[in-house]
Amino acid sequence: MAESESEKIEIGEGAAIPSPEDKGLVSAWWIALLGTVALLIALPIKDPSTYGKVLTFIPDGILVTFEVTILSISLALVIGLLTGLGRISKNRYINLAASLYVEVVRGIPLLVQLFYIYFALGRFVRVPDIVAAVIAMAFCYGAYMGEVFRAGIKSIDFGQSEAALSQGFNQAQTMRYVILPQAWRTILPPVGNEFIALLKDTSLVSILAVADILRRGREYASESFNYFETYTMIALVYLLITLILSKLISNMEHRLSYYEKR
Amino acid sequence: MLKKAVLTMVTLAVLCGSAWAEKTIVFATDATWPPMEFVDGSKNIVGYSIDFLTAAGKEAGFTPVFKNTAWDGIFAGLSGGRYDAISSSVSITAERQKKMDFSEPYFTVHQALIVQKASKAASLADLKGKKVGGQIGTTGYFAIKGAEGVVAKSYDEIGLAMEDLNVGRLAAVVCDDPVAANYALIKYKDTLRIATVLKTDKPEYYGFAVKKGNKEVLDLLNKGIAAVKAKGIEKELKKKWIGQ
Amino acid sequence: MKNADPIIHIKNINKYFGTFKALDNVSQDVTPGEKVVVLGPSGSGKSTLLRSINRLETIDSGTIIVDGHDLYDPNEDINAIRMETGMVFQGFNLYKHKTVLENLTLAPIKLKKMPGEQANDLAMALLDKVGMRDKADSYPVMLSGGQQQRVAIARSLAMEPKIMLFDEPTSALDPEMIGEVLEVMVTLAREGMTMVVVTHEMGFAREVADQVVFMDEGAIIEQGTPSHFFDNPTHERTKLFLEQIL
Repeated sequence: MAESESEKIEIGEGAAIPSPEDKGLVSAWWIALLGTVALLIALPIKDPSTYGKVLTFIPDGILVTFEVTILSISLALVIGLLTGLGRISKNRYINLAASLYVEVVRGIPLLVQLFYIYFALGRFVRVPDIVAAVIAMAFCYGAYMGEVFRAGIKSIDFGQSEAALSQGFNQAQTMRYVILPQAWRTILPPVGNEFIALLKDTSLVSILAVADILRRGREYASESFNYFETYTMIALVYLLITLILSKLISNMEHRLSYYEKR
Repeated sequence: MLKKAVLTMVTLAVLCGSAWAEKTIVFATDATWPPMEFVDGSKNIVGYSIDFLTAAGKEAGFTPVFKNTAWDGIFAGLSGGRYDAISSSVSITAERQKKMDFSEPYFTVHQALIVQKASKAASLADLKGKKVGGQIGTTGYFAIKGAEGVVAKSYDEIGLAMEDLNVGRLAAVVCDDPVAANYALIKYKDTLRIATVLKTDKPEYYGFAVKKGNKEVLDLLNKGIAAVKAKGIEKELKKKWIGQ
Repeated sequence: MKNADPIIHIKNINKYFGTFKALDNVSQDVTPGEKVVVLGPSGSGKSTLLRSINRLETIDSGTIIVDGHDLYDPNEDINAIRMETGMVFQGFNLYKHKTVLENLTLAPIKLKKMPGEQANDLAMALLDKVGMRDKADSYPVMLSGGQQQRVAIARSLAMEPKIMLFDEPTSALDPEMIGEVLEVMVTLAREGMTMVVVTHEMGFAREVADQVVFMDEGAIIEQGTPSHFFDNPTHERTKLFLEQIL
């Protein structure tokens, strides 16, 4: 891991988050949203016995997808914060442990980690499938979040730390009251991207028999043989969710930059 | 590069032509269903249905080629023309017959309920409110979904469901009896047991599936199946793979 | 005043950055109420000396005692000592995400557990003093450099420190803003605050300092009253420095 990483946080996979200033992206967002909504309404009306049936089959899957996403991202944020702090820690053992975790997680495909943690956990502790899936997702995304937090914290001018320390704040208080509130603004866009990426990646937990959107759809398709109709609707549902989320995140990001406006 | 590819294709065409006398039939098989079809220690697809088709091919004059295919979507691949037939312990059901044609039955099957050794459950009715697993799109899974009060959970592979039953995430698994026997009597013999065989009105049969209207392949298959049964090869195979 | 016990006692301190000797056996006392101005060319170690007084820089050897507390005694709470020592930076370093008022109240509320209302009253009084009352609800980014530095001084004062350290407080300012900051510092000096100031402002040194310290290459070369220092410097390097700067 080169220390020469620039302060700019790379935007990874995930939907492009429209900036409120970027008129081009905003209109692309509107077109996508209207198109998605139109298809989601028109197709079931046109053919209720196939497209319509899919929609009645997957609502509980949507709930599960949200449940897994929200629990995973919450846990990943905690793990990410600890990892990010560990990665900038001057304590070499903490630093080493955090770096090792990041290296290991980054080197293993998410799907393999999901299988591994799901079945490995099963051997030692009896946890419900959703909990196992959440732990696996959070374990993986925590490492990426850790890098985001690290970059976010490092992007804050060192003078901010020095000012706080000189007033008598200890390291933890400095982090809490001065650095993190500012870093959060830098961190939010990539966290938003990770959030959307994670939501999409939760479709992988369907392989662990977690009854999310994708698995509910597959169950319907395997009974009805309507593969094309099923996956059309599933794609549209995912798209609708990520479009709405990306808009919410972009608005939140805009609001968080209040103190930078003159 | 292109030259090489063209050359290879020409060679292949010639080879196929020369082998025309023996028609090749490509079968999709989800080789995660021991002992019917599975991948052995040397990465070969083996099992009852593999041997059955090889014998049938000898009798009827075709060469079976097996293509390992994930169960979920296996039917879509057939209608999409990615293979000629499916040999994957497919139970013949009315819904499936609407979408594809089936050969004569080649195996009679029952749905077995597998539970942990310590479990007292004797039927699906004893498992109200509990999670019961099956492979997605199988008759076993449909049986779970049809049982009142039971929480159905679908898996991509039956082995994953067995593992979850073994570690206690599931209360039971329902699948075809030869497969159930393989898991409960061999692989997990210390932890799992077969609680019962589900009672049904009609017997359930495996058939080889072909695309609707593919009479050529269907006739060859039926000819082979009849010969295998008539010559007593079926008995030998059952002895070899099922142990009965 | 001059004969009182020192509130800052620096004895034989040394500091290396790698192989570069930043502080070379420096000793210096500051008595309560005294104003010490540290001069010297850039890279002479004057900022390092100042920063070592609240342990933003750690020294490699020697002793620093601030208000009776040894900075390197493991039993001492460095954060408690820092609360008594205000620091003003060249780059202001106001908390960017806080309003001017919140910049002043954050530390008293969190560290001294001061009730919010009391902290606000104190902060407004201090903002009055530095002439920034009307900007209480602005964010730092909206202020000019001179305004930011005045707020930064008020922020340090909000902890009611016994000592104020200034690290080149006017070096980053446009010339027309230097005056407003120096004015605040002069007021503070008149009120009897103990001050250690690293600066290039010779006028300020002459007007305010009780003692001028000249550093070069990590060592204190010469020290004395402003009149001695500016009118009768004894050391060659001091003379050279004054020639270049005046």
